[in-house]
Amino acid sequence: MKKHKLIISLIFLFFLFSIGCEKLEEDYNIPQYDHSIKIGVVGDVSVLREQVENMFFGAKLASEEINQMGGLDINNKNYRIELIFKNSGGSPEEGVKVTNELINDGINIIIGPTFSSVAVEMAELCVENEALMMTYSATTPELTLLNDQDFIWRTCPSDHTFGTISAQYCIDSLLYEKAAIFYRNDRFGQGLSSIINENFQELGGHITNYVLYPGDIPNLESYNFSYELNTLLSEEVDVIFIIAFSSEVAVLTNEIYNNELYQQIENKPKLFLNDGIVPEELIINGNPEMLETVIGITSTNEGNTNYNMYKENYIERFGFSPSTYSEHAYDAVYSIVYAMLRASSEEPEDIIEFLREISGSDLCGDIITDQVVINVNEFDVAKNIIEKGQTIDYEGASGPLNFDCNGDPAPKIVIWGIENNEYKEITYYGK
Amino acid sequence: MKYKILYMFLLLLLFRSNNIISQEIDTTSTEALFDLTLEDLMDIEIVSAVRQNQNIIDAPSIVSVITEKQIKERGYLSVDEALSSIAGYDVITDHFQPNLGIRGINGGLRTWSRLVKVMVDGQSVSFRSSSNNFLDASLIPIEVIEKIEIIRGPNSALYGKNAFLGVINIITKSGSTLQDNAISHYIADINDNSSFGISTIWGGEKEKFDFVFASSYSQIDNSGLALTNVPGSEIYSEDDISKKNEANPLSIFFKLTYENDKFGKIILDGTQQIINSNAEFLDWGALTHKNNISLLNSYERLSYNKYIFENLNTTLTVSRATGKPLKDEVFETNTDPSEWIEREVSYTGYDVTGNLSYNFDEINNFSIGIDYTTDIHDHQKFYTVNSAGTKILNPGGTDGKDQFNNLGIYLQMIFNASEFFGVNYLKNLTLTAGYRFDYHNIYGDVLTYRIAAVYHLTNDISTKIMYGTSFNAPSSVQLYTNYIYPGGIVGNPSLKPEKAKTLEWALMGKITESVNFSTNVFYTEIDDKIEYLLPYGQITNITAENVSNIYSGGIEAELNASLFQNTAYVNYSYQKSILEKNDPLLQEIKVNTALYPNHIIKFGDIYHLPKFYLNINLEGKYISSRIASDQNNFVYDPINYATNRYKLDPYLLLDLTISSTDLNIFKDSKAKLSLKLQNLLDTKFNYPGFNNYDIPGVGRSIYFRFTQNI
Repeated sequence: MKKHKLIISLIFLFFLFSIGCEKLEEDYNIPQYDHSIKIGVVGDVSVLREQVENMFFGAKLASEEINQMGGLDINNKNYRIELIFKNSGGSPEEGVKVTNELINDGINIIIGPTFSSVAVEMAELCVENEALMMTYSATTPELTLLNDQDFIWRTCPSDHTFGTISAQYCIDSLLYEKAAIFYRNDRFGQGLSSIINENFQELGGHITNYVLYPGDIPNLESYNFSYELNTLLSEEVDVIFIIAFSSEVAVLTNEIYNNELYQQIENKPKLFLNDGIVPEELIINGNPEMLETVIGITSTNEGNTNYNMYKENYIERFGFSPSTYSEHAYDAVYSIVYAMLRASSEEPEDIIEFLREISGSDLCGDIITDQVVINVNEFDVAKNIIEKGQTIDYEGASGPLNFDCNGDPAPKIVIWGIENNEYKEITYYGK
Repeated sequence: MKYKILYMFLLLLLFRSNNIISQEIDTTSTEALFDLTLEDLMDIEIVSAVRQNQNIIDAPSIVSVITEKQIKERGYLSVDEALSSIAGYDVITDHFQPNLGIRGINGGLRTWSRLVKVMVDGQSVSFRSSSNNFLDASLIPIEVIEKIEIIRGPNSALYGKNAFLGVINIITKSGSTLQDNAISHYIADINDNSSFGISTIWGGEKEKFDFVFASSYSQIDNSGLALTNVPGSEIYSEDDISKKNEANPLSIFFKLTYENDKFGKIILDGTQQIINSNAEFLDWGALTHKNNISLLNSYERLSYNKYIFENLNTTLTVSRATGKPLKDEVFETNTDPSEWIEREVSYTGYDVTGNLSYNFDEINNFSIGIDYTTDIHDHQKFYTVNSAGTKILNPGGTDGKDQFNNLGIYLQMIFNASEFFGVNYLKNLTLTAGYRFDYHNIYGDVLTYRIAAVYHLTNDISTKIMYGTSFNAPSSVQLYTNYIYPGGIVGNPSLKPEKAKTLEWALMGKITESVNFSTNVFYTEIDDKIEYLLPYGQITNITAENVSNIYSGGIEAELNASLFQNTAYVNYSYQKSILEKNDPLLQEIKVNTALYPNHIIKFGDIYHLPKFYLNINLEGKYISSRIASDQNNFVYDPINYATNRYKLDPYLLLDLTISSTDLNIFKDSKAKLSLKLQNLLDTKFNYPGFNNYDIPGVGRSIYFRFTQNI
């Protein structure tokens, strides 16, 4: 009898384990491909995780869509797109390191990086190695001026565009005369602030204070901004241009609002924010009293049908809304893949021959008008057209790309504000 | 300091020896002080498994008990230290509060033991705004504890919300069971800092009245601990150490009982818990040296119990619980002295419960109960305050209903299968079935149930199979809080309760009169697990969301023996837990859960030396490696942090306690001395942290304790 009891007990034991064992195994769900084209995607994710991951997700969405539609056929061989993500860590050294890693692994197509401060050194290395680099958010004008032999591209506008329009809107539309500039002390902040400064003054305005804050503060909440803000707010102005990362703006609005000089100002200045700011994040984390003083600039156009289709796909796939520049990363993948299809090659020197064409521009960057327009969600249509030897004009999630002679796009620019805690597009520049 | 304490201990022992020499030694009664049976461990009656007295081997749950005697001999100073010796429990800390993990699952960031229901004599003692259970010395004066009943596994079918993965019920002494009034004092050297504690217990019975009062206060200084960098990162240097990391827990307990055969029993009891900690290792302001978390948490309860008929027992209770920050609380997220954070959060809860229990005989029983709880919340709000006196509400967070109402009804039936089904060969089988319905005005209906079968293989060995469901309700803080700093945690009003279902099988009993064992296998599934997520999308704040499922299985085995002059225990637990979640890049993935080790071995041996009036207790635990927090793994590998995760090193901790039995240091009164060396080997180890660093454990510490009966 005792033996039977023991056996029954052991059966229970086995029964319990067998139920659970199947579910107690790890599974990373990593896809396996027979043939793939590897594309490096580089971003400064350790510095600005929330936003940069969204850019990665934009690229990921594009690659998944392409793969789900059968991938791409090059010289009678079918390929899937495989993205290799790398962290450039916000430093040129790290950017160069991961670029070298990718190149050494035989990956010579790189999307990224995020920051202007990383992009130039990475671009120089790519040119040297004849690797194609297409950044989705590095806006520094230095990339435009680089002797890049056409290996360096971007799907986001240059700071030259943003800076010029920012100054122009304040002077021409808002009739402001006096401004101050508060910028992060890095390549991005220095570049954009100098463009705004130059343009604002050229248009007849006056910059009273030009104040920087360190670009390498490890923990912004623990930084004491008193000195910088007391200098910035020492003279009354119509507008303060703030050049900062999105994650910093909420803290800055709180710091400015809590500053005693600011509280003493009778006519509170507007805060003009640079591109790349996530308005929803600002609405939650920014100082509520400051929100209606905010004006911003962006190339994300919520009125664009292609952007809305992209946004819908993105939310369906990831369960949350995309943040700015993720659509530019998405467009970078599609632009490169369409150019690969047109070139029937995965080699950078062949791809760059067709990047302008698939964006609807000729070699000089002038717009071609007789191509078939390809929108978001039309990869299969584009594939068919290209297979027939015809050309396409990819109108991306970020709008028409129309790469110019320097590899820069010519998108529509949006001026936005916040009203009753809601994002509102105010006016548009560009086509 | 360490040497001073050792010197003092030796001096007092010498003094004691001289004292003994002058007395006639009664070795018989001295040896009787060392109860070498296993009564404490296996024949003990428990109340928590079914809300009425049952022998531990009959209880339809996996239960462990820590007795008053074990607490004394092992030198535990707080409930969390006692729980550290139990199989299936893993206690980590951030030096603000212990955080209890169970069977492969730890709640993570700011959870502070909210995966279990902690009760004092059946009254929940969580800080209701957050459902956190503060298990440090502030919970209850350790001297007033008669035993701690620890249930692993779900128990919502009896106790409702938050009896999720376990129940801890602290049974207190009464005046009649209190041997002596006593005052106790300890001094300690912790990390080369002086610490001390003082506690009193006082009680007795007079005619129909019985009362007990206890209090304790400690000042524990954990300064001088350096943050541990995530592997590969160099964010913190050797100079980043805790400079003012004091905790001053204060605890008060009282219980007044009146009992009369005709009238029944009426009890008025209550606790007051004051948490006061500089909390240097919290996620929002590590080493800012100015945090001071100061909270009051208390309850008062009136219970009435009477046998209406011989077999029909009724219990009615009315209680009021409150919690709020004290005025000296301050949060400091940065080093800017002109700005700091204050918070408003409070609750006042009223509970009314009623229970009717009919005992058909010693085994068969039917119970029905109803409880109604109203918690009136002032939801957590953080304010930024500056030196000019301006107080600005931090953004984020949502307004919600202030009043949380919950109505619960439960039924429970315990019956012998042989009598119920009329089948003689099932005479050794007892079945328990419980069912509970909860209606909450915020998150709606929840049904929970459990079924259990306990089969006596012999008189001393039983096997049990149990299946139960449970739920953990979202707290006011999880639902509505605003943030401490931009990007910090904000509430999510759409949270649903987490739900668990657990299947367990156990075998336990006595092998011989001096050796007993307990072993079990468990499998738990949790749906809608609430996690503090790294933010995605347009929102950059950390929010709690019901995003994952957990599958956890394992085995726990425990052996207790009382041989020669030793009372020893060893337990081993193995658990494997898988977190299933949707990763944006990889989609549906299954990964090992973080924060909890796979293997834990705990052991202890008390060597009794009656001739020398001494007990020597060596206790230890081996904790295998554990995966670091998601937040830290992002720092470790910002790209593949979902799957490429680092592990904290395994470690072995040993504690040595030398304690005396009752001594006559002062005339006509008994006294006890104890010396405890915690982390005897000075092992360097880390607990998981949540904001770019791991949290160092405390090195070798010395406690000297003196208890004088009065």
